[in-house]
Amino acid sequence: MKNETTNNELLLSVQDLEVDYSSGGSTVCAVNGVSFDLHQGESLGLVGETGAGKTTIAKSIMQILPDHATKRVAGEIFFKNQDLMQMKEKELQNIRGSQISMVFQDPMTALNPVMTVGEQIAEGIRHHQHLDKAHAKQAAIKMLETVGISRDRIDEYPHQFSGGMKQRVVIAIALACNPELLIADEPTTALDVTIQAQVLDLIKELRRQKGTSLILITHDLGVVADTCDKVAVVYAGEIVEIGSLEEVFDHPSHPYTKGLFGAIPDMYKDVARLSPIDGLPPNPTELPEGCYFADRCPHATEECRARHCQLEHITGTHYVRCLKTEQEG
Amino acid sequence: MLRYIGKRLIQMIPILMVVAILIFTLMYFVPGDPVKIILGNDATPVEVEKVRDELGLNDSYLVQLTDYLKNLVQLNFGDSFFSGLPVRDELMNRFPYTLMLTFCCITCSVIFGVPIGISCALRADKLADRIWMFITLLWSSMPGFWLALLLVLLFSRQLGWLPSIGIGGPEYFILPVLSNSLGSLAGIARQTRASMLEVIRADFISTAKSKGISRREVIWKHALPNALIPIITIIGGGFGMMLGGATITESIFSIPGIGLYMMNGINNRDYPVVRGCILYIAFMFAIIMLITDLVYAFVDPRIKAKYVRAKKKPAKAEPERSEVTC
Amino acid sequence: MKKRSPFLALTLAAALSLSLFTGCGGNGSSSTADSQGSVSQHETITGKIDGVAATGMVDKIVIQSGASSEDPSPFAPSVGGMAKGLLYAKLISRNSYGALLDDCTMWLAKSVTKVDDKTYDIELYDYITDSKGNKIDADDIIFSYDMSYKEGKFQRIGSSMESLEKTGDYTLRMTLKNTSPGTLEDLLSNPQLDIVDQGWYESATDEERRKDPATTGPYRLVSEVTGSSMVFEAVEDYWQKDTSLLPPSGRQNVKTIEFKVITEPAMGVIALENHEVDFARFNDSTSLNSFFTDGKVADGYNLDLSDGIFTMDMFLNMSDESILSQSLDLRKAVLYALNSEDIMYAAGNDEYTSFELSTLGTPAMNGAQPEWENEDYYDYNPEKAAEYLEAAGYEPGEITLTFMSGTTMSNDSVRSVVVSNLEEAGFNVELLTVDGALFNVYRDDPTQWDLMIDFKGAGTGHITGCWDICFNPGSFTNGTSICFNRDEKLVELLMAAEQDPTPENLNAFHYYLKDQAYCKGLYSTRSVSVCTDKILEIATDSLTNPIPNAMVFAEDYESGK
Repeated sequence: MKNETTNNELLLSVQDLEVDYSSGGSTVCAVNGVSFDLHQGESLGLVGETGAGKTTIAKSIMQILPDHATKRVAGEIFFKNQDLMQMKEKELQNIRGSQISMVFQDPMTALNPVMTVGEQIAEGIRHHQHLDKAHAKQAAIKMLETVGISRDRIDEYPHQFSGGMKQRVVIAIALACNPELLIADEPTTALDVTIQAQVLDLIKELRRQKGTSLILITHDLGVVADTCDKVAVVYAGEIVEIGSLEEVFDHPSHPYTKGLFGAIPDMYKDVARLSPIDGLPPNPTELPEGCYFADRCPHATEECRARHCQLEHITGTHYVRCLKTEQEG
Repeated sequence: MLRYIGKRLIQMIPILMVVAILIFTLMYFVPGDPVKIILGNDATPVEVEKVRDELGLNDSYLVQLTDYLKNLVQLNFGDSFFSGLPVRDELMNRFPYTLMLTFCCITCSVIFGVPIGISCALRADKLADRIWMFITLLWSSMPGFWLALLLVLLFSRQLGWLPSIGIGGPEYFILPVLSNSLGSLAGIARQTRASMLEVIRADFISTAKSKGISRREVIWKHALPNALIPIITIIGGGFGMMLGGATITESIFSIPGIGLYMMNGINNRDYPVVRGCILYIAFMFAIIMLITDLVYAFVDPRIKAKYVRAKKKPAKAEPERSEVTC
Repeated sequence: MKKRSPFLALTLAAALSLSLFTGCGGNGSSSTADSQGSVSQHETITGKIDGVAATGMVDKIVIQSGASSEDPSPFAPSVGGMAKGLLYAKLISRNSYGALLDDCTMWLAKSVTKVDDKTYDIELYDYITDSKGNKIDADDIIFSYDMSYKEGKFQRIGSSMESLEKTGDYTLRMTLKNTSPGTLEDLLSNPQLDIVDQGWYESATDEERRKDPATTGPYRLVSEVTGSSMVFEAVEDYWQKDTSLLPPSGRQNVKTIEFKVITEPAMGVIALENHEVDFARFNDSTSLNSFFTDGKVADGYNLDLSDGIFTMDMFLNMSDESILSQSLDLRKAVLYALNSEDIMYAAGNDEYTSFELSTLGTPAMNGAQPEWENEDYYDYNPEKAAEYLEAAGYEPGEITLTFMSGTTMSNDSVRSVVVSNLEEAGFNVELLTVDGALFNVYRDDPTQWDLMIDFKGAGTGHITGCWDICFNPGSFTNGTSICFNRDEKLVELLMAAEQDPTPENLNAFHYYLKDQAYCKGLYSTRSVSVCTDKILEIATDSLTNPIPNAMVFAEDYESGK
């Protein structure tokens, strides 16, 4: 499924990605047929609650799924017209860190405690740009300053930094080799609100400077609104709604998306209680035949429970996976 | 860092003093008479009393204790009741053999144990992992005595490749090291596997992988250094234990080390020998623990920071709150 | 490490243990005494084989030594090692265990003449020099005796020697405190006696005394690694040129002697099979069986079974509070219940390495009478034991006896045999099992045991020596005995036998002790010497220790082959 919202080249195209884990004897269906495209310079927000499969999608793109737990992977991931799923490890190592980079969720544990931050930043540089130690260190220092950390701290260890600073270091590592695609997995979830703003600003600034494409994984709609061009709502391992920022935010169509927006407390309204969505996501080891959201959906019908439907086009680049839309559309 | 080391060394002195007093008291109250063993079965009680007097064994507890401590601070461990040889000299003579044996055993255990543990961790629950874990379990369950005899029967007796007893060139150490190290090899392999399994699942390993560096580098530069702490603990403990004397191995292969010396001393109630050996063990353990702690600091900068915390300048103090921004 | 090898080695180990059970035919005949009451050495296995002997000195012999630390300096307490025997000469040398003066060879002493029962004149050779060239004279002898007693803990000097006086530059007069047979010979030849030059000793440092002592024996110390090995070399220009005047201990048949410390018997067997040692000595029948099956010595080896000179005995508590002292019948019940042969085998011996006793003493001891062996010496008889128990007025199961044994001396099998023997006869048994050092303490405590098993020797080599150790009141703090009682008649008989060891007096003591049932001699063990068959004749001294320098080597003997 190809979009033509921009005239930029297609950078990434994920098609029918499926990932199963094995856990304690049973199979966890983490990702169940996800497809989306990303063009150069675009930023896509992947929204969904915890356990929806967003991190798995990200790790699939990086091809760093845990070997021992991953049972089955299917689908294609085209990056610059090459299928990452078919690539050999050596080729993937060339791409990781230099063309696609990832920023992880928890800055407290994302850095190696026994290496200096300078070493950690320089490692990728040395590896991909084949610089010697001294030059790599210089480059690392520059990177550190770019993310707003004083150059004096180049030889310090991660435990000497606060949470926000650690995240900056992680970003420095990710962007050290100027990747074309940055995947940020909940980069601000573990941080204070004020620091969140700073980190997001940093990401936006760096994107502006270098034109990096971005996949931003988050459960926070506010962050999406601030940073992304496109939005994909993920539920139970599949995309239930996808479109441009305006399309989705102005006209949320999937009951789940509507529920998400409804769950946000409105500053200007005085509401007696919040309306979070009732119920819990389905058990990923026992996914139902029909719509995964049916049990929680206020509009669910028999037919919903009976069959699973595709993403249906609404307008422009806006697609929704819902029988109601199908019927209306 | 030097201050830390100095502090630890000074702390050792009261510890060793307490050990000395404890072991002295223990031996004092343990029943059994060394003199009859010295003089042999045919000695008359009159002769026995005479020798007891000569050795000062009829003095009161306090008198004997003060004598002992007085000698101790001059580093005089006394003479063996049994052989008459000065204990300190004997310890100095025998220590190198025990040290050599121990050192080789630990090195052998680490060189083979760590890679086995790593490769098992990477192939956790697969066939290779299960096989190796079974083999290591086998090794650690084998009684050292039995294993040593089997090895001697095969390599020395049957094949004639290696000598069975004594000391000399490196070939004399191969069988003793092999029989003594297999047990600790198993322990190190298992601990390495466990530590690595924990570390591999950590987030920073994902970060490392996502940089695109090779798998080997991920394992050896990122995973292993973080998995090392519990492994080092085991190695340190094993080293300390072995330095106390790999008694069985020494006795089978007739290696003149500390283990046999101490065992004979205990059986003969040779008080100076026992006291000297126990103090030696306590001392070695303390040194090994210190070295282990220093290795921790070398491997993990967070631990190093704790040791030198007093010296850190306030400007570099770690900001705990996130109000401070750049 | 190949997986095959453990199985191969396991099979080997199994094969080794299988050979244990090979039946040994025939009874090792116990020794017959000759008219003087001492036994000819090297009984069934002579340790002598035919061959052409080497002329002159062979190069080297490597011997297994069990002593894990030996101090070769003079007057160091002797721990049972062989080093001192090579380094320091004695005044005389006994030709066999318990030999009396006319059966001894002179060494440093040119002659020993009796003046009266307690006085002897000793004349030295006047040309004795030690390995560093110092002359040895009467003063040195007196000094050596003094130091051997004070430092070397050679106790008999204090308990049996009244005085040693110089009567000339090379003559001395020794006066004894008692005339117990064998005392003089022991004082003149005991391994704990180290003869050295006074001048050298006093001017030497501790280091020198240990590393390079001046020796009066035929060898000097070349090198030593504590606890591992000692190397000796024949002294060049030994002071006694006429070898016919030298005892076996003074010979120099081999140039270099190396002791290798091996503490585990199993490893000793392997070392011998590997030719890592040329000569080894064992105390157990398992090791023997590696070299001796079906009454035949294995190919390539020479073997010697020594005399049994130690006894393993059961003693009964005769103190006033002890129940055993109340009734002779009860004691007889205990002694008839004990099966010496079973106990002997339980201790790990077989009929070659051990034999039952028929008195408190062994046939190798001087003074043992041959007719004792044909008598009933409380031979195992559970029916008789039960009868005596009844005669004593007790029901089976009524009496409980505490049986004490040491862990190093006796193993668990021995204990179970004793327990089952006594239970069969109607006694209950409580075990008191302690380690060596504690055993020595409890041995003197009458509240601790009713029965005790212990080994005894005869320091002087005469059977009265063994009896003396057990029953001479002067040796015990309360003036009693090893059984805690003082039997005046027994003491009287002991003194008579020591004064005048005629068969009448010896018999008198033996029968009285036997009738009183204070103790029972159970068994004695022989030690086994094994070596390559290129050693034609195995030489041992009067205490059954090997004399490497007196062995007869084959013409084509080579160490390590």
